[in-house]
Amino acid sequence: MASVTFKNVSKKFGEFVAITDFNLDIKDKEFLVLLGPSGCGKTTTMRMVAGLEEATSGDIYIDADRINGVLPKYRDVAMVFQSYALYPHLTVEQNIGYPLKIRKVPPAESKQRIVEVARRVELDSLLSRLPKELSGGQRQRVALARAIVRTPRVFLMDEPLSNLDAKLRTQMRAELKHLQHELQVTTIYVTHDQIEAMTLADRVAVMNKGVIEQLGTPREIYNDPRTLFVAGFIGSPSMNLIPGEVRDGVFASAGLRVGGLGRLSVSHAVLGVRPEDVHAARVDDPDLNLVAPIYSVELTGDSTLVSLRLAARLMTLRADKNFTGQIDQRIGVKVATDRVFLFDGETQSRVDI
Amino acid sequence: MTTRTLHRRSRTREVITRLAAYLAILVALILTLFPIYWIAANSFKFDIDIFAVPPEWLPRNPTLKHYDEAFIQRPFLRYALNSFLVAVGTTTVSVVFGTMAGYALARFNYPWQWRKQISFWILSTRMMPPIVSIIPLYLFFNYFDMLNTKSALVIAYTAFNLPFATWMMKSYFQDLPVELEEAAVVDGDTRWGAFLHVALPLARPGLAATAIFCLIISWNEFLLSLIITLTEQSQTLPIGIAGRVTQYNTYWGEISAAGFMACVPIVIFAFIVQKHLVRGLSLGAVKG
Amino acid sequence: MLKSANDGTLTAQSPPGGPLERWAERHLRYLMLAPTVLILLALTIFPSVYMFYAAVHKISPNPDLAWEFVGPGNFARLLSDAQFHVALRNTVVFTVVAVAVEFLLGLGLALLLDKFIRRLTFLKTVLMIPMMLPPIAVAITWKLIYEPQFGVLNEIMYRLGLPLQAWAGDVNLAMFSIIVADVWQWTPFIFLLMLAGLASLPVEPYEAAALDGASSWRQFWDLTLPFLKPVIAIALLLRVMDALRLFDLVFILTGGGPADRTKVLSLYIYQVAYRFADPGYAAAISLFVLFVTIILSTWFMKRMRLAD
Repeated sequence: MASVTFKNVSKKFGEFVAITDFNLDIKDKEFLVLLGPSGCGKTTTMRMVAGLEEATSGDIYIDADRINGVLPKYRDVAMVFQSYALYPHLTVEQNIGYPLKIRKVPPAESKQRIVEVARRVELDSLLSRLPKELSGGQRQRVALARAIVRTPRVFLMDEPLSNLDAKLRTQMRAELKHLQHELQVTTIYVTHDQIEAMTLADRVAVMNKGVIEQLGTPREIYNDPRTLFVAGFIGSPSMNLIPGEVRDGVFASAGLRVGGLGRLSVSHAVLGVRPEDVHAARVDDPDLNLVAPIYSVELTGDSTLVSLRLAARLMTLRADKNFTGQIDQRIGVKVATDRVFLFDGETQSRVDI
Repeated sequence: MTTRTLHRRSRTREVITRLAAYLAILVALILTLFPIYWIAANSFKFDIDIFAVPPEWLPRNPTLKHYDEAFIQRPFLRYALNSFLVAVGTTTVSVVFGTMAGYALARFNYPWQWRKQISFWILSTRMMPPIVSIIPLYLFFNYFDMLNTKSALVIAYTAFNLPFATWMMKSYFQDLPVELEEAAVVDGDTRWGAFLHVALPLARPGLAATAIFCLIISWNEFLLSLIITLTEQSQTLPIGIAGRVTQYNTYWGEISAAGFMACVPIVIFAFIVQKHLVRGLSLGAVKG
Repeated sequence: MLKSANDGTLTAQSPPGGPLERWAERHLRYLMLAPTVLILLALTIFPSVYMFYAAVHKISPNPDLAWEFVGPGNFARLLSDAQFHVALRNTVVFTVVAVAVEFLLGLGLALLLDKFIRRLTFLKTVLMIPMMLPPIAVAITWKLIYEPQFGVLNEIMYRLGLPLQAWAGDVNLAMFSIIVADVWQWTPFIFLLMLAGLASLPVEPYEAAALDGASSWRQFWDLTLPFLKPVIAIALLLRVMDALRLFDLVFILTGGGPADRTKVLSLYIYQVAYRFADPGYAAAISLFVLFVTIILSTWFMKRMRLAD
């Protein structure tokens, strides 16, 4: 139904620059996640689409319509707030029906739509309750229902799951995904939770300090991080990032040596390798990359996270759930050389091997 | 010291504190209520009993004579009506404009830190002693031939009720999450509509409290009314009461009756706004 | 299912909004603030300027006579006017003593009763009644109590075997009498604000302090007072500003007498303007009072960052 386009958008709050020269093309029916740490500008970006903030410069389009300066009511977008922002003085039915009432939809049609939507999100038995009489999950559903009752051109969701407990969050995540698939409405979703981003998104825009660090499918973001920031931000536990030096295709840093990096030489290099691509081995294995003492051992259930002391920092590897090493015991480490990433410490960006 | 004596000492201390507290509450209650009781009691006594020595603690021959004197024979009913009309007028103007201004100051940003400057300036107008404005107001109302009119009182009272209402409503609006109005705007309402449909209904308790405070402040006002009003056509209740304290005679029965009746609505109001008292009395600065 | 609702988009046909609507939305922040600002400008700035204009003139009570320009003459009179100095001194004495007594009493009572009265909303409200009452009603009530011949206070003195007094009519007791009535009316105000302040104190620091072995006296100085400071400041600011404008009590109880012992600034301005029919000079005194209160309240509010 609608695409959203940012062209050279910047946003300043006084002296503070929130968004710098932002360009993004969100396709029709796409589920796009803006992912980043707090203060990275992701919420500001979304609020500019809603019309709650105005861009300082640049253009924002929904389809072919430039929406800069257009009042929110004429943008036809719906938003789910982190706090849900349910009207506390209105019942569930009135909350869901508010957008229809404002648009002067005839009461009969309005009623029909409300009931339909309420059934869709399983609220039909709670229509006469006030928000304060609902559980967290139910409130979340009311917020969703209020957004979908008028099938807007774009859905905006600002960390909609962050106020739910872990179990409910997983369940609502699945429901959201299903709902978006069914409704086929372009969706912009803001979160700092990478699992949410990975599971929900068609594409993820990883943001940092007001710019997009990388835009791509969750798989691309995970398997092919283009910058040091993305590499460190995506993945749990996060990627090991070890500074060192590359000379003639061999990375060296405090005891760690990784070869097979072509014929590269980078003086300020950072080696990135995910914990699952680091393997424990016997100390007498002939082709080890590292021998280091164990700092801690954490059993997570399906695997064991082992931290090793590597000079002043720690290196994490994901071992089998039956791993039995003891703290301070020295073990050997093999790095999957074909799975490592190399970054230039100065430009912060990937160096292709 | 063993733990047991320590324990016993703190127990004794607790009992003493408790007794002192109950005693203090009792004394405070007596001191608070006696003067109010006394004016009420005297309003129901015949003159001769008012002057009795030793005083008659309970009215022996209760009478409504002074109520008849004040409210039927003399124009105290008229004074009360004037007070009421002026209070309602002032309150309406102050609450309507103060609510809008309070909302604006709670929600919007202005260039050059105006928000802070204007809030500050509005608060300082509330701090201004009324005596300093009586001369220009007198000359002003005199010039426009408005002396001795109720509209003049409404205008003069608005000068201190409007800043009060603005600050109160600002503090109530600041308590509301801004997301609600943002949601309303995204849902298709205008910014003004979000104020009218979402913020205002939610601030209703605060609005009611603010209105009642404005009514009380106007009802109680004396000095400005003393200067602006001349006859019973516009004189308010406090002026009427003060008028019966003359150089030659104080009409104790009459002023007791009128004074007590002036207090009754205030006490009722005090109980209605009891939850908002702290905020109201601190101009919204302390949230009770 | 919701898909059936998908066919009719509700707002695709919405117009982008008329110019008037857009203008109103854009300028809403100014439109909502404007009436209040304009009204208050008219009611404060205009009088101040006009008052300055009046203060440099000699204004005759006869409206047909023109105002006579006297320059700074009225302000110069402030320096030599003994009555003005008396009024100024009385105002300062009243403000300092009354507010100090109210503060100590109110804070002490709040500390003592905090635990016992917190839930007793009804009782609290009863204790609050005096400050809500019309000052004129309070004044006549105390006038009745102070009455030398048949007043209650002298009855109590008599029973206690103490000498009877003229109270508000006595040269030495007049100011005391005014202060007592004011204390009766306004101690509840301090009490109420302090209770609110105490109710908002966090619990953990006290538990930590108790574990650290701090006495309750130390806890009061190190925790309670610093926490209460903002509330105390607001309470004092409002009380001082109110005390400076004292008028009603004096007007009814003493009329400024005896021997000018209770003549305060508000009353003196009133007398100069109406009894002595000298509005020009009254304006000059008013400007002085205005100046002092602006300085005082601005200093206070800036210090407390009250404007946020």
